Amino acid sequence: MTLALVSTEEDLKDLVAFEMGGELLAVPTRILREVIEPPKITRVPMAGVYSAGLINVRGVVIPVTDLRPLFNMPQKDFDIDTRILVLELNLDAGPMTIGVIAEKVHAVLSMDPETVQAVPTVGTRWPAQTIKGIGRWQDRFVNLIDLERVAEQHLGADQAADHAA
Amino acid sequence: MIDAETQEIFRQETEALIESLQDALLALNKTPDDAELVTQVFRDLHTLKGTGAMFGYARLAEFIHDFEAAFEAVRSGNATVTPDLIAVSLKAYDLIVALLEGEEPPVERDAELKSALAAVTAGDAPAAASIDAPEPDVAEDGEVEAWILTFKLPPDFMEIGGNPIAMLDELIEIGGADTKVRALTDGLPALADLNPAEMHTGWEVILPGGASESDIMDVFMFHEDQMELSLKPVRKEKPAVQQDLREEELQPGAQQQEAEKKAAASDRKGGTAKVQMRVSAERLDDIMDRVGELVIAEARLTDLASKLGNSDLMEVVENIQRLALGLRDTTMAIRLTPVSSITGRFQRLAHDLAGKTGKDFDFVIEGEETELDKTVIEKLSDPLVHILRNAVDHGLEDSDTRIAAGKPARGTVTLSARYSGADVLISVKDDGKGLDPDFIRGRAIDRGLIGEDAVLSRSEIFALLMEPGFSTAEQITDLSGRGVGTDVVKSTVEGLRGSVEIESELGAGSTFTLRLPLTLAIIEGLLLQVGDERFTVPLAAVGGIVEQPEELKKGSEPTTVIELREELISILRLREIFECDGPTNEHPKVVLVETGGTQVGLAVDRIIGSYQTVIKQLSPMHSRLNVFSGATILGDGDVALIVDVAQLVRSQGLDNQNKEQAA
Repeated sequence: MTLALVSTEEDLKDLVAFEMGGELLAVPTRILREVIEPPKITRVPMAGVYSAGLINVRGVVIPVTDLRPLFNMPQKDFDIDTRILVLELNLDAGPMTIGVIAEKVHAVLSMDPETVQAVPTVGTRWPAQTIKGIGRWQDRFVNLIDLERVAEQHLGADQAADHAA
Repeated sequence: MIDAETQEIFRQETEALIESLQDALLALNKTPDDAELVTQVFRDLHTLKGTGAMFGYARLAEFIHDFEAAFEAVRSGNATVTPDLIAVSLKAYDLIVALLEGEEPPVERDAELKSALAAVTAGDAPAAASIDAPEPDVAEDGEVEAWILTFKLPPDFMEIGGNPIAMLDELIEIGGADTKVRALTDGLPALADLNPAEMHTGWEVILPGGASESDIMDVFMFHEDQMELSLKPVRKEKPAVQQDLREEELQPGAQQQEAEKKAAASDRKGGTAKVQMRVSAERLDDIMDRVGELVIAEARLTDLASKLGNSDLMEVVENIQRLALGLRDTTMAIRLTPVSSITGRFQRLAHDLAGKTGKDFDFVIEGEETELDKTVIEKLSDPLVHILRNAVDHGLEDSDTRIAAGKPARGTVTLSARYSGADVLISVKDDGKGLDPDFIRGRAIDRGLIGEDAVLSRSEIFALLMEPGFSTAEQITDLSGRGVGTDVVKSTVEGLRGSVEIESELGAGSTFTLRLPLTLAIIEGLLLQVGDERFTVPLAAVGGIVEQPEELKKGSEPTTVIELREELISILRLREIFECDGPTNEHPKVVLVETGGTQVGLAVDRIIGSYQTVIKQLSPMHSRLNVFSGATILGDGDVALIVDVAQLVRSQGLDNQNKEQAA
């Protein structure tokens, strides 16, 4: 039952864990392209709270999202630990490269599928369908975030990728 | 087996050929006496036949053979170009296209058209010149008794996939049982040096005089330039004319003696013609991407060098700057294609429409030489077909109605293309009955597109035509009901970052204008500063820069109207609209920008300067905003947004107001 909640058992073996608003989140390293120190972020006016702006990663313009407002977390200022996870999401409308602000990035970890449980329907801060499951690592809860779902439902990435062309 | 790549080459080759063929046929309709055009048609058909046969399109090759014969009759003066010939030829052309696209038209169609072709070319021709008559060149200088053909293939002939035995078989098929073949072995190396994979044998083939010269030459069609070849006629009465075919052009038909004059003309043409090369669009995109990166790197270098202030370095940097810009211009020019590359099919469409509707009209094309990015041009074809159909089907009236309205009986539909700043305007204009705003309004209310009390300007009412759901079944006719709807015209054009404008006067006609950006990759941009953020606007849209008047510095509404040079002008305060922070400038500026036929002013803090802007598309996360058409990377590596001024104006609801003022 629990395994059906995550993409594959493989994904659980290779996760990158990061911190945001005091919570520990994780995404499979399969979708991680790189972790970078925040370069200058160009704000996009009128783009809403989830948009942090645009960054230049070696000549490629990549959008950056700040998910903290989505999870009702305070937007702490950038500090020495702040990183941007550059992720390659596989959306229905095509691949999309996106940066996600993380307050701190932990090591790559491996999780025991047995510890992964479904998200309780009430009493959590997570909007519906944003978390695939919750596992345990070093006595802490690790929230397995479903970024594809988040991008499609909350960041407007459900539109055809060539919409802008 | 033909692989996908070869198929693709074949497709590209034939595409250019059939386009050229159609153009020539349509042009012949206007100037039937143009011998050049006849030669052109003949040449295109001949090449199509050869290419088709090589790729296994037997039916196509066989059909074209007869089609070609009709034009051979014209070429040799045994028939003339008549409207009937053109009409039948266009139908034959359609069959060729259908066959090429792998459709399976009924086989009887071939025979039908063949006999129609024979009929239209035999009608006024001398009795001897029926289609089945032997090729006229044979009889010229006395009857040919035999052909002596000697040829030697290149050593790597078999390595590149050639099959000499098949060639010999083909020759024997042409010559029949009397054909004599002799191997020429004088070129064979000593046994020790012999590589069995190489081709060293030559052949002498004697064919009977009844064989046609062009049939013989066709065997070697694609190898002529790599091989040694000579074909000599042995004549009965007069001594044989020596011809060294190696010196002949590859152009089919050049061998025919009676065509020598024409051949000389085309040789001359061949000598000055530009050398063309086919490159896949993907590679061009690759180059464009790299040039884009280069331009960004160059901007960065310039930025660093000017900070260092070393004059030797500056000199090199300026040189690199010059080279990068040159490369950019050349690359963009490669991607630019003249509008004429697609007008051929419109000529044809107009021709067909005239036939189907029975409406008499002139189709005029202006500004065919106007160039646009290749991807843009290709996507424009369908929308333009739709607009043209509409213009003829719904726009033009029949002759009686026109005469009654005091107009010339013949209508005119004009397709024109011209530059306007960084845009290209392509318009389709008809002098028909025009659009009735009241009627459109009524229908839009019926369809629930607008409320009954909606206040709309003329242009807004016309724009309703392009709303999905406006077009209805009762409007659909055989002509206009097919293909894309007018709403698709709008979305296609907007997808190319363009817009559609409709102008019309009841009783006098309508004009549909597509406004499109010249290129999708790099623009000249003006970099502006607002607070501590920077934005780019396309320089071509900028009409001027003025100091902000005192009255403007005071307020803080996002939009306002001021009087500038004795004209009222809408001002957009970017600081307020974009909610920018940061210090203001003591001498803020207003950038005057042209958009949709009207001028607005953008209030900004500082003008940084103009520079090459490589447009990076926004991800779906930001592209739905519309206000920004893309982003670009600046010399210092930061990202700046490119403002789409027309969309910005629309987002602030100034659109209607301005249009009304302009009207």
